[in-house]
Amino acid sequence: MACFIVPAAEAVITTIAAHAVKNKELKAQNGASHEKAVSKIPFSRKLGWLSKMLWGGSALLAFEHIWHGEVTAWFPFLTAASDPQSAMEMFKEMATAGVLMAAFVTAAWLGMVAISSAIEKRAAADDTAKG
Amino acid sequence: MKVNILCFIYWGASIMWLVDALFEYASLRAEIFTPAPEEMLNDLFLGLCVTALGLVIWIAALLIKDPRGVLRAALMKNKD
Repeated sequence: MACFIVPAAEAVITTIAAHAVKNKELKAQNGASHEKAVSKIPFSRKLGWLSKMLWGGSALLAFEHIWHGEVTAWFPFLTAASDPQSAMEMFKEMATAGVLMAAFVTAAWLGMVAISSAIEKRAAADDTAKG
Repeated sequence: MKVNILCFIYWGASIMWLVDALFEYASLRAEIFTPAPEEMLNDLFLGLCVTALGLVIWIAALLIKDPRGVLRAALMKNKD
């Protein structure tokens, strides 16, 4: 019905957060050594991964809803929002399926971040061992 | 080739579709494994269209970002 709205809302938040973190990193980078900055993937870039997954997934899921006639080009844009009973159903679906979609994507991203951090730590350990 | 955006788009969509399928399974149970032929055909076309849309979004993102500056260089060449 409208479950894609929840991940799309998270995508908006992560995009804004990624821009804010990037600005902060650029300011901090001026004082830090260049070598340290190159060996580690910036957190803003990692947040960008989550944004891309959420935006892409939401866009394709929105297309699926258009395909099934659940999203229209005219007000109220969602067919389920036209009467109170189906609107309640829609909100219930957003609270269950929508939230779970956002949580699953975020969990996959957390896994990616954990793996990349482990690779970064291993690379840093190899660098210090080499001298 | 810069395919990371495409990977993220399809990965995000796949996870969301999986959750959608889990909820459908919870309500319909084994019935979702025996769809009607018309439903299957409709889902096949939907899948193809969604894949194509993912590619279109990827190409649009590449054209906007122009990571290697190919488009910019071509436009500047035409100006000269």
